[in-house]
Amino acid sequence: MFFILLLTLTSYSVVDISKAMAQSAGTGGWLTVLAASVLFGIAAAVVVSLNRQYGGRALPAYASDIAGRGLGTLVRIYYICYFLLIAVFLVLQMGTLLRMDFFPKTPVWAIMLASVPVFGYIAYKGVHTMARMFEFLGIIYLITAISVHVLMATQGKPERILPLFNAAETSRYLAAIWPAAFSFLGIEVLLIMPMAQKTQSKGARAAFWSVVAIGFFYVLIIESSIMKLGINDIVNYNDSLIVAIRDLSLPFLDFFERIDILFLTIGFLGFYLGISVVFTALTEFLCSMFPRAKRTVVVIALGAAVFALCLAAQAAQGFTEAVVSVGTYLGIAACLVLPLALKIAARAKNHGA
Amino acid sequence: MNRQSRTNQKIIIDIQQKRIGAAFRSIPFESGAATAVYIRELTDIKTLGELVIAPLEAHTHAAPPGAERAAGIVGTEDCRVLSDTDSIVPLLLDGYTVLLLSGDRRFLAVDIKHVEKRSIPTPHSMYTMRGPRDCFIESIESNLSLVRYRIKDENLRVCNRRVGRRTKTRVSILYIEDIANERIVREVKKRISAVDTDGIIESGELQAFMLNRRLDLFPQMGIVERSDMACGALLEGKVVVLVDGSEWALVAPKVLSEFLWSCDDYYDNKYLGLLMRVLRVIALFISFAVSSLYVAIVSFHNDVLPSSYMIAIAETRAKVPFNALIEVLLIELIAELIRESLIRVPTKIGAAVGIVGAIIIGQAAVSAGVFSPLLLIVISISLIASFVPSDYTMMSPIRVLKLLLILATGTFGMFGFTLVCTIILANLVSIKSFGVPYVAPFAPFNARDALKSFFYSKSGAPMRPIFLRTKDPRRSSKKKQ
Amino acid sequence: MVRKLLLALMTLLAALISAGCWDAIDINNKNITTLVAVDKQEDEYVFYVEIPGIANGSGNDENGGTRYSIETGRGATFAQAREDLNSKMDKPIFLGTVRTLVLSESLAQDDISKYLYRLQSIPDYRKTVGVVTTRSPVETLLAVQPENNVSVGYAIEDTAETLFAEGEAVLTTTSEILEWLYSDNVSFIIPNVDETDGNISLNGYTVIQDGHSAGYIPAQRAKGLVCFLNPAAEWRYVVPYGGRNEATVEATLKSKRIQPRKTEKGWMLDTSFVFDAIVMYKDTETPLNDNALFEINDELQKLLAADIETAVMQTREFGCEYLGFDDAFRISFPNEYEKMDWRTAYMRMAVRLSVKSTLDPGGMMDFEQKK
Repeated sequence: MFFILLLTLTSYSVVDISKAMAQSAGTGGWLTVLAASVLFGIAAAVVVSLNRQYGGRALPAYASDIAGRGLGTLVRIYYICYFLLIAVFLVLQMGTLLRMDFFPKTPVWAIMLASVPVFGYIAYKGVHTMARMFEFLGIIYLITAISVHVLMATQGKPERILPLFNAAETSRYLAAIWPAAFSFLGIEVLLIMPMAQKTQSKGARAAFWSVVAIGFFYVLIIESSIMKLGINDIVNYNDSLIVAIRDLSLPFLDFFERIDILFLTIGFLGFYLGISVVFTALTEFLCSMFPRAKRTVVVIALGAAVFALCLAAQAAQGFTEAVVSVGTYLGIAACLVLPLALKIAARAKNHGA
Repeated sequence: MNRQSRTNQKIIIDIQQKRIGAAFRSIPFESGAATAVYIRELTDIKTLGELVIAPLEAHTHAAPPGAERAAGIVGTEDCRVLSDTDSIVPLLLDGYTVLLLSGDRRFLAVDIKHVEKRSIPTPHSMYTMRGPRDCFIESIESNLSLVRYRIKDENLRVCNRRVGRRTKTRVSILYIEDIANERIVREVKKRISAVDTDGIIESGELQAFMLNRRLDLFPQMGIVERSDMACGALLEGKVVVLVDGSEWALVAPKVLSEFLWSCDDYYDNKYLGLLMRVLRVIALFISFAVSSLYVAIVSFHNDVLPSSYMIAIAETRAKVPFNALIEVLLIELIAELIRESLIRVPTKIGAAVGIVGAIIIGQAAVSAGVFSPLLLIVISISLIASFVPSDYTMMSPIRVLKLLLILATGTFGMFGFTLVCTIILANLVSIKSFGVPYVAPFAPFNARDALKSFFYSKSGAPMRPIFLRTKDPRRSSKKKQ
Repeated sequence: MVRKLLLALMTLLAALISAGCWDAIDINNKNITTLVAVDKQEDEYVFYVEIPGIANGSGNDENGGTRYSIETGRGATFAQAREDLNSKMDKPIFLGTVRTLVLSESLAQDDISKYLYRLQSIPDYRKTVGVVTTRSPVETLLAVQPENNVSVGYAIEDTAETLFAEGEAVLTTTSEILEWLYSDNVSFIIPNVDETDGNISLNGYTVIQDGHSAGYIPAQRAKGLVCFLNPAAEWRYVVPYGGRNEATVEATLKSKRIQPRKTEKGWMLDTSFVFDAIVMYKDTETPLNDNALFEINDELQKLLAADIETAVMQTREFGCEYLGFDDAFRISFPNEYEKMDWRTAYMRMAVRLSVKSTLDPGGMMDFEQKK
């Protein structure tokens, strides 16, 4: 579960989280991120405990049981629309990022066209395959990321992240939780993971601490990036993480002086997996809405729809910023409000029964 | 001529009409006869004469014996009394000698098969420094004897099947009953029984029938050439399938990491074993990825290496007329041509082919500026690395996927590289080898098994891998010595 | 039906994508650049790029080493100068291998920030590239033939890094300069290299304020500066003792601490340096007893303090602060820092220096020479 959360959450905004925190919270961004992680950890605990209540089934399957057929369908439609928006945002972001930093002449549509079938393939394989991939790659991603960020921190300047806390700016740190919230969206993908109906408290606790651990991981990313680039320069880059990593130079490794390509390869692998989760979530919800449709057909249709929407979004001005601002509300509804409402409804139903 | 004699005559005429190449030897008795029917090419004629015909001729002064009496007279070890005349032709084709008796409606089936076979050879593909060198051969009996010689457990089961409508190839399924997972054994038997074909000549053909899906690229069963490796697999709780006529035994289930392990890792020092296993993993990665990485670095991500290296690479490529992608594809093609030709080339000119490949293609091509010297080094390392994994069947999909990876990298650089790797990984984690996840013990992750898969010694591993779900999970007994 | 559709889609996809390879350019089809120099001559910007000759192996000199050539581009703006440069290139310029960025004195007098902001948005260009200024004419500097036939870009980089590693210089990278440019009221220094007797030498430091040169510190007067900015600063001093004797002492910076304080008279910057020192050699047979060592240490501390004080005085002379006091103040008093104009406030701040050194008699040498 930890690796699924890690790779999903990081795919949402790991690339620009350093910039976002530097802008909104300055050197105290670490505190903001940790506070946000605690809040979203609670959300994750709610999501997991809801799933465990219906052990062996995921939300697409039991939504109707809790909310009735009509409301259950509405819930599913909401999640489909939400995940579709996120999928389009992530695919477009990925294409734009790759074009910006590595492939300036490659058209974004070609990058999207090459990658959407891959996400669709993973979604087609199903939740268990995806979970196993996360288990396999998650540890590699984590070790690589931590190593690189620690190296960045050793090569950076510690004074750039000081002072760590300024009491006069406490309100600023708290206000920055809102921009940080987008980086913690992704918890809602747990709703498609069927979980064994073991002790609910253990699973919920694991989910909570997983999100908090991811918060610490974000802190490492933010602090190492700021140490490398400086708080005044980092706000100029939309892809602050990539710029910071490319700034890494290890002459003592000689041949591997520039190890950014290693991290970027594995980092992007994690990115793809994060997007694949969203695709898988969409597939699961769509398959539950249209049980008679073949999974292959659903995946192909979904891929085509996402690609078409990405092309449209690319032409639209300010799409990314709009998604970040609106998406935060929608995401909080998806990962906290709705699961909480469903949990309360489920409990009320059980008591009533 | 009594009634049975007439029936026997009819049987003989039927067999003659079928033209299966059967020979007949009649032994007249006082009243009646016994007829030995056999296929000369499959029969030990000397044993036939000494242990079947001669003892019967000693009793020709009396009436022809009944089946049991005849079985007592005949001096062979395997002699069965049967009554189903429909099975006579299949028995003949299987190498049995059938003895028709005019005194009994039953007949004898005597096993005095003699098939030309070679002696136990040394391994030619799974070579070992320290381990035993006796290998399987085409004769299933010899192979079974090698296994039984090592495993004297009363729980060792040998289930025989016939596969192939025309070849009726004998297939033996071996497992240790109180270790092997029943579900796996059942699945193996089920898949073998479901094979519907004219004939199976080699175990590879049977393996193809036993894949999860027809188009699967990765092998889901291992192959073993050496009997000690087959016995090791049995002791782990796996199922070994021997195919008559094939020197390669099949092992099921087999997970991805096991394709990289060798028995030598167990026989030698465990630290050396660890080093070798890590080396094999690196070799697998090198053989798969290094050509693509060359394309990625030369064509797309030029700044990942220090500037001095990039200048050196640019200088070596200055005269090369092709771009990196075409260059790599061409040299991969040449490497595959050399590899294929070395398999089939007569031994006497094998050395010459090697010289042609190395000197003419390598050296001359570089001098002419057709390829860059760095690329030749890269391809040579990749080629050598492809021979490192102990089970070569894993390299077959790697060789195919490598081309796909090169093409993807040539189009999209490291982005294409990671996309293809993602697809391959998704495929790998979704495969199950007879119910066992293919990437076990890494996903689902089991720390103990994952560690033991690298750092293993028999004395330090009292438990079998969890992913095999064996009936008896312990290698050692619970009582401390 | 679904399978056929899938197959058709995959084939189309493969065909579409294979037609691409948009960004695939082999390294030998690019002009690898090892040095970029920017000059301002009258009203024109001039780019100089150093390119190794690799095409068809013709770029080797008589000793078999790589020959480097210099190409220039001129224009009234950076964009025009770059266009002029591109028009002379047979292959696209690749900036990912640049080792050094050289800014001429005239550009430094004008404004370096415009060019550096340009570099920020070039993804190829590594922000770890070292930046130097030069007071020599750029052509003269680039005409230097370094030993071992390395490029001028490599030679400058190696010189600067060697001196930095030995604790005798300060390095500045593009990334650092960009950070300083975006900070308000922050000045910084850039090492200056010149052509001296046909060699490349690091002769001093250019002080930059608001994007342009505010002064120059020659290397001989930069010991204190290096102590502030190089955490492994190391200097050798000839220290007199016993009236007429001298000992050569190597002092290595162990720690530096800047502690801002508020006093009744205003802000005070308490700065302390601790050095580890070792006697490298003495010039006479006179043994070094405890008294002599004490005397040497005392003298050394005075010499170090003088150099460090010089560095501080230089900031007052130039009217800008580049020694790191701003960071220390910002960390300790972030709210006050936010409200003040650091540049003017610093000029009013007192700096209290404390220099201590711990002297090791001689390491492997026994200078006491007990008979």
